Amino acid sequence: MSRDSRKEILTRIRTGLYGSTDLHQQKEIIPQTTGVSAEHPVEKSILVNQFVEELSKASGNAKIVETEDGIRDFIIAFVDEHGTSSFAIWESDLIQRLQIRDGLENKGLKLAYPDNKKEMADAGIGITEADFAIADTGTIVLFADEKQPRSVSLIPPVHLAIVRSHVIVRNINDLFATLVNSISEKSSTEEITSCMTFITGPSRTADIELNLTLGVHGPRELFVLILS
Amino acid sequence: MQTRKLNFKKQSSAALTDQNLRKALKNTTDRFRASRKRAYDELEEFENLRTRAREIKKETIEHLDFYLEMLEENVTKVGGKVHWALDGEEACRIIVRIARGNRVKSVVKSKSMATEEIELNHALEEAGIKTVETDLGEYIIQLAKERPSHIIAPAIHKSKEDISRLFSEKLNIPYYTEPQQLTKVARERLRSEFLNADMGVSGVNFAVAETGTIVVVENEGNARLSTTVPRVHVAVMGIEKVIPRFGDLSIFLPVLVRSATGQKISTYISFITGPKRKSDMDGPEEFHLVIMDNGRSKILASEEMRESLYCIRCGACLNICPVYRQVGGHSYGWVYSGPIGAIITPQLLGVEKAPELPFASSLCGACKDVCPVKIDFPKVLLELRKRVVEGEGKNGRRGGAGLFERLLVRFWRLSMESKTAYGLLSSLSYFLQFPWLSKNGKLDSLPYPFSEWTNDRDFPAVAKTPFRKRWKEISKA
Repeated sequence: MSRDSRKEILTRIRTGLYGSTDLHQQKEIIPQTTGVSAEHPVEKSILVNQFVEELSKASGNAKIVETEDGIRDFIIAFVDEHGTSSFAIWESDLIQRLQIRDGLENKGLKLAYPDNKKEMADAGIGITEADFAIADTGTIVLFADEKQPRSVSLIPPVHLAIVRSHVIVRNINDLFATLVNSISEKSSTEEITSCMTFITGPSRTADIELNLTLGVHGPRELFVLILS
Repeated sequence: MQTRKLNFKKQSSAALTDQNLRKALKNTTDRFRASRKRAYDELEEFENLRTRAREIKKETIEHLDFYLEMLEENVTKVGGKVHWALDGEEACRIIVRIARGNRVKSVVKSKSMATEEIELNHALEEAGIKTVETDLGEYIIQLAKERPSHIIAPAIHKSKEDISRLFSEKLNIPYYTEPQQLTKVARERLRSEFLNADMGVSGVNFAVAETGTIVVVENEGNARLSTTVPRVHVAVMGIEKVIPRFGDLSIFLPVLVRSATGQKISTYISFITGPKRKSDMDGPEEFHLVIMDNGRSKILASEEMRESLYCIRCGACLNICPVYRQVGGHSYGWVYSGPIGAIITPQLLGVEKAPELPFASSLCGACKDVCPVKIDFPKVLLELRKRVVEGEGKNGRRGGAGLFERLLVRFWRLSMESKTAYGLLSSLSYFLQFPWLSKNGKLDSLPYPFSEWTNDRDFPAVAKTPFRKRWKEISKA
């Protein structure tokens, strides 16, 4: 039974490491200073430009927009261009405030609900908002929660993500420093998101003769709209 | 489970005559090596990251019980279930039981070496549960009923013509020749599998003890789909995959991806902490983590061999190994190949099952140079060779050195330790060598027992005036 196996495995480990099965002295988990990068903050426009450049190296597309209205207009035009008949969307504060969902439904598009697999399979585009972004790799970071279902950035063949420029951090060290701080502020691990996803460009494979092909199982197109 | 003895010599000899395989291997390993080098040169602190990564692995492995218990506690806190499996058979039983308990009819799998190791697909199929590999490379070898030949790119031994033929035969489609078309076919076929599967099985690149988070690194999106859409998610890991802190990922993720494919970061990285929360609209209702021993605790018990468990399965050692590059993964006879295969296969299966593998190396140490966690492969290989020769495995040709080999080695030692004996021997061998000197002045086919050496390697001719005599002259001048 699994409980006996658990005991057996831990016994084997303890015997192998310490030569005895007495409960090893409870050790403290050593907190690690995650290598936090240099102290002076980098100018936002530099981060934005670096993010756009890295994302394009990863075959993603980006556009910088100055106003919130510009965001809504762009998205509606973008979806129109793609000629899809249904969409999936996150209801983040920004997206709700801009009434993007209404805007699209008014254009005759159908909303796909993430808990309905059939609807999600038919959706042509998924619209989300990134919680963070990493400039030096062109990565967006998405947290799953009740208003941010995982499948929106995954099942539809086109993924559009809004990134507010102030969530862009310099590199993976800075991101983890931020995340580790916020985890330690939580009262328990139950509050950590059930799924955090790093996304860098559209899906790809090189499994056939190392030939790079985009759009395997995940979205074949990633478009990032940056609100500066 | 692997029961027959592996035959590296036979399989590698066959591989060497396969020109297509050799071309594919050269192409693949050259590309991966170049990408890794670019990635290494570009990141200033790569060297420091390697050092730090090894330190963290050492700290973890040396307190493995502590970290595994912490991992279990935190996975359980967020609503996940943790199962412990002594060996592969038990792991398969556990997973089949989870599937049956959830009335699972079909499973989608993302890439996991651990599940290949335990032949999980076979166990699920025997239980009447349809199992589909979703990583494109794995999908290809599943259709072909073959084993992976490389840790990162499992189907690299297949040309696109091979794959076109395979797809048209097994999937009943026209003969497509372009990778784009083949990939599109795979995408379309697998889409319905993802959407209809009841259970998803994934591997675990890292399991964070501090938060109960498992991390899955990929480029295709199949792991995300397998761990998001089906209502049950089972993640399988060896005991050595745990790392202490969430922040450690900022070190491991860059070294893993850069060492594996040379990318700065892979397309998707999922950080999964338990099943969906009650208020989430999607995500699996159940999350199961299977923690498996399957021989790893034995490796752990040996201080010299323990670092074999630091491996993060990046494949960099394969790409740089002069042996792997010539013969490919199948020659190693099991799921792990290249230098890492050469050290863990004998340890996991028993030295007597794979006695040739520790010798399938020139000890050049290139693997140690590229390993992101700085595993000292030559040291472990030498220790394994010692175990083979000392007869840790009694059966088989190399299982324990025979009397003759022992005498020969003793004789060799005596002649090396005595100046007079050495001098006598070298003069004698100068005279004795003439019947066997080849046209180009080499000794390339000596009689038994020296043929054991010259069958695979040449010996230079013995000089008329040995160096130590010439040195006497030179140093006098």
